[in-house]
Amino acid sequence: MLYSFKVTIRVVFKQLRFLLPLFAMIALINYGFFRIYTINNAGPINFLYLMLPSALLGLPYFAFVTYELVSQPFRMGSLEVVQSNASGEPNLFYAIAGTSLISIGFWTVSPIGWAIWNYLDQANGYSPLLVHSLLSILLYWIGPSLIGISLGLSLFRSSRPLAIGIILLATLLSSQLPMKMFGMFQYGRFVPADFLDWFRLTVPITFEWPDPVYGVPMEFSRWVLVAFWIFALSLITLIRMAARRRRFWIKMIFILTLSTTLSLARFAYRSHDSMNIRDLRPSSPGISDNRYYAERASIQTIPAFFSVEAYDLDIRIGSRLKVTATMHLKATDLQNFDFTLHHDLRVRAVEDDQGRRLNYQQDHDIVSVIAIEPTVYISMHYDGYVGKYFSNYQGVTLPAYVAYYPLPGQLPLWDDVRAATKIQIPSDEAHFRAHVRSPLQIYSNLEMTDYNIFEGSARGISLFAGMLTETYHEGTRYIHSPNIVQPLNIDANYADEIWQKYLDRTGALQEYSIHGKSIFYQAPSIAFYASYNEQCVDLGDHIFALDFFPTVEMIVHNAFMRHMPYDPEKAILYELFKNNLNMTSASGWDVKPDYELIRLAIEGDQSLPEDYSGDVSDIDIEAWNEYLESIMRVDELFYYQCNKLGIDYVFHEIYDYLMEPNFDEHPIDFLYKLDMENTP
Amino acid sequence: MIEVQNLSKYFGKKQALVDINLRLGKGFHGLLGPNGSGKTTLMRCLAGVLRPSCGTTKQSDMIGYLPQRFNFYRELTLYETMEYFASLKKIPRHQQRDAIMRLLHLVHLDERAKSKLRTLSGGMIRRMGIAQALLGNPPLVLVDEPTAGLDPEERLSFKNIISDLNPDSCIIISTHIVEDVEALCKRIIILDEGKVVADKGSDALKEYARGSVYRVLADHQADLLPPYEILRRERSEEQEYLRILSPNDQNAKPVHPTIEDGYIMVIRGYPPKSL
Repeated sequence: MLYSFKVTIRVVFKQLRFLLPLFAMIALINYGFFRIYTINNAGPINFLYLMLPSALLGLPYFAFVTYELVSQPFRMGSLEVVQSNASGEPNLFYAIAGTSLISIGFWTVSPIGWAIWNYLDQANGYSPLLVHSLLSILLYWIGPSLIGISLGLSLFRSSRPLAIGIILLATLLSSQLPMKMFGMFQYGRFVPADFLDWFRLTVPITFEWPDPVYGVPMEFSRWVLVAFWIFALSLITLIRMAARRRRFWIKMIFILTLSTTLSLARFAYRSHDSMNIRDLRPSSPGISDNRYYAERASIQTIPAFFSVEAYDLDIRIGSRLKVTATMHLKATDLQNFDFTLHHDLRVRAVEDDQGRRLNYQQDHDIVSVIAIEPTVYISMHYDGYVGKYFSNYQGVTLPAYVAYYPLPGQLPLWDDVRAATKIQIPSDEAHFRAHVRSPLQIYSNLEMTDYNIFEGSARGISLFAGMLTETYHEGTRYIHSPNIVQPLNIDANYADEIWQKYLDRTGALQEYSIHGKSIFYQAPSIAFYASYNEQCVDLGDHIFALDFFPTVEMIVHNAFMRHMPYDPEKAILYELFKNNLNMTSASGWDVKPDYELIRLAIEGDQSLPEDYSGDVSDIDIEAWNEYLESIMRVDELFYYQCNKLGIDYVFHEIYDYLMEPNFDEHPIDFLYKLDMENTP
Repeated sequence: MIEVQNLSKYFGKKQALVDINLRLGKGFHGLLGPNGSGKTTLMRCLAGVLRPSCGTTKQSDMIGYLPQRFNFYRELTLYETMEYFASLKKIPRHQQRDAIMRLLHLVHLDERAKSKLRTLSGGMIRRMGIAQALLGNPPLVLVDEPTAGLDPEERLSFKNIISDLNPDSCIIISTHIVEDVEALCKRIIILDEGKVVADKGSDALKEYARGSVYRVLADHQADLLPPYEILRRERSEEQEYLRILSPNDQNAKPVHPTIEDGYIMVIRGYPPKSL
């Protein structure tokens, strides 16, 4: 074995055709890393994202080198001589694999060095980042190279043109290219992306959204996929080698067959435990909610005739959620209970306080439980995932509003009108006790009484984990990622001032304060598919912020708009109100647009978008431009009224109009008539 | 030295070897047969490279094997290559150098020990092949088509080397060229369509053809009784002669047979005259 190793080392390190490409690749990637490091300043995760795709060079290189080493004796006939000696062939194969592993060592020194430098320089010694970087290098850098070695070994009996063809095809399939080309398509029931996903070994490319919380996607199924290819290709090699001495290899073949089958099954039945950014497959968690709700009737709100006094949640977070939610209900005589639970969580059993199985029906987002007798205790067991709020070994994002635990009553989780997640959080507080079983440290709005055990009273419980840390700054608690510099300067007093300004401007009477609230800066992976209303959500005792750089203005503005009803027929005025709530001046808008000029906006507002929702080629561009022009005149009309009547007056009036459900006047007519002049 | 019992080998539905039974001791043994007769398959089974479909082989653990095609990593030197095969055969390190140099001397390559394989000719590689096969003095040496692809000079040189091998080993030389084994092997096994069709001493094989080989004037070919087979044409004293093989009595005086004549008799299935 040792001498086989010496031989293969000599062969590789004596040949420039093997060494030169390796040195060229190493030089090239180091130059690239240096450029990324000096030019890009988006933080260590972005650096990782940009660095890891270079690993794809490793697959063809190591596959080819291994193939050349292993096929030469075969092609030249000397493999038979090796085979005629006991253990000669496996020793040679092990030696070749070992030699290639040494080359992988050279190939991997650079990314590891850069990751360590990145950690020391940019992350100020935040050790989870270093662990994350090393793991991602193992998965996305070393993984494809190991597969390359396995592929090269398995091709030892193949002719050179065939082997090179297979290696190139494998490289192409494992790159991002096929997914970019076919990721979005669906042909009947066949989704190419689901097929191509079996070959994707490279890190998903993302330039705009490096996620400092989740980091590089490394979900469990990706590790399984790499293991599957290594097992499968090694199995092929062994079967091809073992034609002579089947008994000798039978145990190894059995073990490899078992491993291959297990990993194959695990990957085939993988849950959507991650959301790769730009993963636009129809089944991807990012868009599965949109597709799911688009095909179903909306749920009408039916308030519960009971409330939950206390939740006891036992939550396991692996590649999917597994929860036992025990609820103490406020004393009722009810036997039938409706709960709202996200449809991707499948209920497995429901029990009462005596451990008796209760009948239940899960339909859509509603779980209806029928108790044997009136009860105040219901225990529900369920598992699954929650759409885009994927939670796994890498990170947890479970804001209180996503119904990852049962909420009393029938509540719509989706806003059909605006095709967006509906923020649902009960107005009453309940007592929560949550025991989260996860290798990650969990952060919550509730007090941590023991490691990953949280308890307290609140309107809801949110759970977060990942590359997060906790910082207190001027009395405010921030949960944020140290991998990116974010402002920790949310001034509660300034928020009060802004809120008061809104009240003065609109005549609203609501109270609002962010004093004492925790602020959670969350993963941009979630933000990528988040609805318009999820960028900053106030959940009572904490604020959930998906924006990279949330501001006080943003938080207060979102909170103010959240209490305003949205009526699609008033949308044009709602948007004007929302977009200009912070405006300070409207001077210069002295000419009131002619009513005829905005008439098309009034008519088109109701008819044109419908007319033009079909084939783009059907659009009458001229008519469309006229419509857009007319919309711009509405903006001018709004600024004109603000200039003439005063900003606060106009906002006051519009606020009343938007809050009043019985106004049946068209919003543009309403705006036009505000100054009582030139009314149509 | 080697015992083969009821050995058969299938490749899919095709049967390449049919119920082979052999027991071979020390000395040189020729394995003859036309192309595709199963010689290489049998050699591979004996070398342990192929697993027989059924039947058994009993042989020593250490085998010297020179397959039909042989080369190794072309970047290694001759000595490094020999060192590798010596290690495979578990020759102790302190004995390797002497063993290697002795064998390289035997095959007249000792002066090229430091040459890379890519600088050696086909004949030299072939000689290196026999040298590696002899490493560790294996009791069984299998040499498959040793002279295939060599020019006449290299072929002669190679045959001389083979003849110098230690006859205390069991040496099996597989070939379809009778000349390669004629002078060397006292026992000839003939394989045809996967079956052993003859297993005889070289003299017995010659005797098998006695009375069936004739030398006749080419002009008298029309007088020959079929069936007959022209083995070769010979010219002497401006006359052309035909050397023919025929199971029938011909109107000519039989000549002394060779092993090749016996081999062709066996392959054609002609019965010997003496029977």
